[in-house]
Amino acid sequence: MKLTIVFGGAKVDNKRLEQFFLTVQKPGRYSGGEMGSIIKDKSKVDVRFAFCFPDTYEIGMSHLGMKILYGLFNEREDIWCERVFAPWMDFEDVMRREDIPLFALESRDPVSEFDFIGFTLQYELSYTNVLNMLDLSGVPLRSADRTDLTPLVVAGGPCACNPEPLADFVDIFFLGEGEEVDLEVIDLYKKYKAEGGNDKREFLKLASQIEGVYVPSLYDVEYGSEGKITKYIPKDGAPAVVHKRIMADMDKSYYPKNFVVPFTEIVHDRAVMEIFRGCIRGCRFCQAGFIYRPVREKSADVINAEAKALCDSTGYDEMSLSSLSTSDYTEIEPLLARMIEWTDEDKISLSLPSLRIDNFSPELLEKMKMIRKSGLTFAPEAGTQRLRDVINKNITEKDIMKSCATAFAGGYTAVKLYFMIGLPTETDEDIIGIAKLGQKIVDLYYNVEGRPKGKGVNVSISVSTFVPKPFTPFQFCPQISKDEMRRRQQLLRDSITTKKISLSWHDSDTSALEGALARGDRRMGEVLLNAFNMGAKMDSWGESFSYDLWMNAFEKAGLSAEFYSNRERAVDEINPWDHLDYGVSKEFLIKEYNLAIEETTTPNCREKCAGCGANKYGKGVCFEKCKNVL
Amino acid sequence: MKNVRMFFKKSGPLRFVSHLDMNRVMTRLLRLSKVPIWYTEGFNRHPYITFALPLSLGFSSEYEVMDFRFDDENDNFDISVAEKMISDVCPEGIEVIALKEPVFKSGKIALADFKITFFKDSSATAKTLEDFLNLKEIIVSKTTKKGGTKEIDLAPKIKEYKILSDDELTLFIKLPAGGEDNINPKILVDKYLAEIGEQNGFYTVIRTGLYLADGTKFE
Ligand code: SF4
Repeated sequence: MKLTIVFGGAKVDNKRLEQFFLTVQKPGRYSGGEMGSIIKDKSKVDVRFAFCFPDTYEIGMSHLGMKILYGLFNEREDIWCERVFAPWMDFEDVMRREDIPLFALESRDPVSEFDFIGFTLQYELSYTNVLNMLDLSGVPLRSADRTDLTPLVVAGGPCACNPEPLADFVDIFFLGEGEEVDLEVIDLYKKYKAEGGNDKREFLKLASQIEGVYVPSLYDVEYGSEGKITKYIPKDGAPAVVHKRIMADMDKSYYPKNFVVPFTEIVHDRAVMEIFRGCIRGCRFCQAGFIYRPVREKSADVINAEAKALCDSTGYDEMSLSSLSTSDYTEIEPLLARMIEWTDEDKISLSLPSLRIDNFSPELLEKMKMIRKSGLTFAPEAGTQRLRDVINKNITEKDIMKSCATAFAGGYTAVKLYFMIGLPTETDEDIIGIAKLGQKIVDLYYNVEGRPKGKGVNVSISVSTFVPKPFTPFQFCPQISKDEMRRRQQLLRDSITTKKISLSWHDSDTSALEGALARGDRRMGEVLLNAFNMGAKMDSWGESFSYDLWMNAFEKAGLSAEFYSNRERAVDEINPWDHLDYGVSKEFLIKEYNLAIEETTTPNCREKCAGCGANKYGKGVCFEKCKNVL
Repeated sequence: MKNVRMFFKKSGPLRFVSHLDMNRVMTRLLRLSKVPIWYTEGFNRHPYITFALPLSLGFSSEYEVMDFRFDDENDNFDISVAEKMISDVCPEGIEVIALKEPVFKSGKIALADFKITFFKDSSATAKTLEDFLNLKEIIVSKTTKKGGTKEIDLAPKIKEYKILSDDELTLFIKLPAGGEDNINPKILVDKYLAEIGEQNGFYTVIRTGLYLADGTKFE
């Protein structure tokens, strides 16, 4: 381990650094050394990659994508990938006061010494943390101000599907799944340096030729008088359209045999097994349901073997299956039957989020008693069937009532329901419908024979604000204003008349900003910079978010949040993400948008292909039927 | 089921692991080792483990004590084999000293030894430290179990101490520990540093031993 961190002339040795850890909350966030963390001899590697999660340790360490790439990169002898998280405010104060630069957990070397500084972009409200982490590294924020070849600032993750707000700061974006494209860029970098190359611009040009690589500085953008984009102009041979990458064969894809197992408590502290990518459902508000298309499953054999290996090497006594919708996994029953054999033996509890068990055999259900009872949760998302048809959420009131009745008879007394407010075409009737649905469940409880004796029921309704996202059929829709949101919230509150229903909200102030960042163009870079300079960070943590600060940041940049989030966008308007290809065609999104307005649903990928365009990858659900025919 | 007592050292990255988190860390370690440990009954089964005496966050220890049990079918499991199995899976920062059958109940612990080393740039000196420790009265406020604070006099609590001053200044001190009376050396040292007017005096603490009231080593 390196003994001295040198930054701005100040020296903080390891021993002193560790004493500083002890002056703040949760020192385990910064100390490293966890089981499964990977230490290499830095003189023996060619490429050092600082994998940065722009939020706290507890959140970042719970993230599966980071675990996959950390394992994948470190399998290579010539690469050392280390973890970096955003320090909490208390430790940031210490760092700034004592001249401690942002360092990677494994080596404690300053991030600025790395070849790559890579961010994963999971949510828009982490963007100021990206800037703050660069700043804490002592690295110039703007790509244009970092004239040396290294460190190269790269970024991937779901928010990279509209990376424009970060275009000024990031050198390279990876579109889609990173397993292959990240390594291709690292290899290019290795080769480029080996051949004596040292020119950032030249390297970026070469990188832009790799499929899945988007170099924002190689595009000029023109705006019309109304501020709308009129043209994207690729330069220096950069492709006019950049295509996302996907892993074609999930069975052959890398999956970690070990995780870094934290010593301290994190959000999701358990073994996680990915079972498929993508989602067949096509709920029209859900970005994940579109950008990860097509659905590609891992086979039950591979999952079972990898899951067992992972539990053996980590010592975890809890495992969860990860996907966008567990019940849609085609081999779910045989998979569970096999997994239960050894999880039971090894005293491992399986947690299965959002699993429907209606069709399971009685034998399996009996065995599954071992599976920890998670709460009964449903996500109708909207209060009326009409609005559920608009958003293509295929769950009926009958389904919910049926499941609740079974559950109540089986001893459950609590139900959790998730809804969104502000969905396109939403009327007051839809909002009142949320309260009505809750009431029906309460009434149902008291009519179920064999409900738990002498116990009341609790229906908890959790409401978030709908934010239109790129690459969804609702990307054209206006987000409702803050005031209108308040009114609808109040309406819902007034519609609930029983104490048996509890209501909770996700912060609606942040959703206005989230909406603007999600569909923002690259002029938003200045807004981000302004907000950062005014002290914005950790925006997803309610306590540190300031709406007024952000509005000032917009104003100072001569822009308005409303322009990005509150106006209807014509279907032929050029969006900031239209030159990026995530598999689903714009024609398909327009078609789905129109169907939504007509309150018409679209069947899921297994019932009938809706022709979204993602079959061009030649893999996954689009070809399942053919497989059966052959 | 047979009770087993594990003695181990805690240092390095484990210094930053709180007592609460240690439970989880050791549970996983035992699971990894595949030693046939006894699990509690019931729906949420977990290995039965207890620690003899909590260690403050930030301290290292050369003598940590944890009890667990072999499961019923493995009452005669070879303790030295178990010792090796656990040693093999220990991360940096946990080092097994020995596995033995417990001799004393952990409630018997009454004293602990600490080794406190001051950072080189600290203005602490052997002279001022010795003068401080020889004061007739050392009044500090201590948080009580109920969450309030009370004034206590540390002077009579200092059982014995030794000061070593060569390259670094080191204090070896024996203090009451355990359920009856427990003195965290931090409150004593912080008081001393406050007395000599040092704001951010850094020092490290290692707990080096646990004893019964009569001075017998806790085993
Ligand atoms: S092409 Fe058809 S089957 Fe394939 S993802 Fe799109 S809608 Fe689904």
